[in-house]
Amino acid sequence: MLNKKQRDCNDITVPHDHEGVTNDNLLIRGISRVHIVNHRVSSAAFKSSSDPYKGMSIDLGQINDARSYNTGNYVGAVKLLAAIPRDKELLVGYDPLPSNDAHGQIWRYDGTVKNITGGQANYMKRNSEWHVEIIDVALS
Amino acid sequence: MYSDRILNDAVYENIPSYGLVGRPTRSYRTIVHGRVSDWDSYLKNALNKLCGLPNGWDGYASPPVKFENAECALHLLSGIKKITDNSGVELRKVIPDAPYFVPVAGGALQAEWHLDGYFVELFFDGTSPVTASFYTDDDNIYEEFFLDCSGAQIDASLLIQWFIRIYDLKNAEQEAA
Repeated sequence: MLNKKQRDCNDITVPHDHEGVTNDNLLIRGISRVHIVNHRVSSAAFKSSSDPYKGMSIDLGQINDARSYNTGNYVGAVKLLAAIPRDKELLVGYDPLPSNDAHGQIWRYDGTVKNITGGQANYMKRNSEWHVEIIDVALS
Repeated sequence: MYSDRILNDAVYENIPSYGLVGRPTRSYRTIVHGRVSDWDSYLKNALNKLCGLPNGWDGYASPPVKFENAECALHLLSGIKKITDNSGVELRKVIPDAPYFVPVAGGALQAEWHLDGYFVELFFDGTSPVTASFYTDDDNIYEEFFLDCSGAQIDASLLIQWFIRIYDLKNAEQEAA
């Protein structure tokens, strides 16, 4: 079990690189139908959110063993090693939610909050593989 | 500006369960009215659809695209369309049709053109200048710059230069084949 990290005064997890998520751990990113354009997964699926720390949500494969990625909001999912975002100086952390204990985030944070760049997003996309494949859709 | 007139014509329809950031006391769906051309109609339909996504559309509790981001995209892309309309035949050939739109978690928005292995993307997140990026699948090209869309005038010349380069690169590839 991973230990939870510091939260700020708004109860939002502060960006960190979690020592319990090793480079060979898998990160899973669910793909929504609206992330698919022109039969491709958009790089938008790998961009920062507009939350205060501009994180990108993922599920930690070491915790998530039963979540379905082809029902509800998802039509599939991709997976990547935790080493991939770290190659590009991004942080990989643990941010459990009441509805999802496996929830983690990828941040671009060095004391200041920054958006994940297009280059970093494309690097993660290119180094991802299908976890749950979407038929007739290219990943890269 | 023409795009300003479109935005001034925006009306807000009170529909529960659809969010519009910046108007916290009520829930709204945004419908933008204005003069209709194929491009305008496409932009408005696509952006209205993304502003009306249900909360949690991404499976990670994201809100729909924020109205301010859709508004910024409409402003910028209407400007590009205006440049195209006022240009000569040569420039009209190189500027592509309207881009695809993709929502980004948290209310941001991405516009993207897929041009035979060349990609141009505009990232609207409301808190910073628009990020424009140009890249190829193999990453041999990756360029980025920021576009300030806060004023009435937008300098889209670097974006237009990318389209000209892509047009030239594609022509060179065809000649080499």
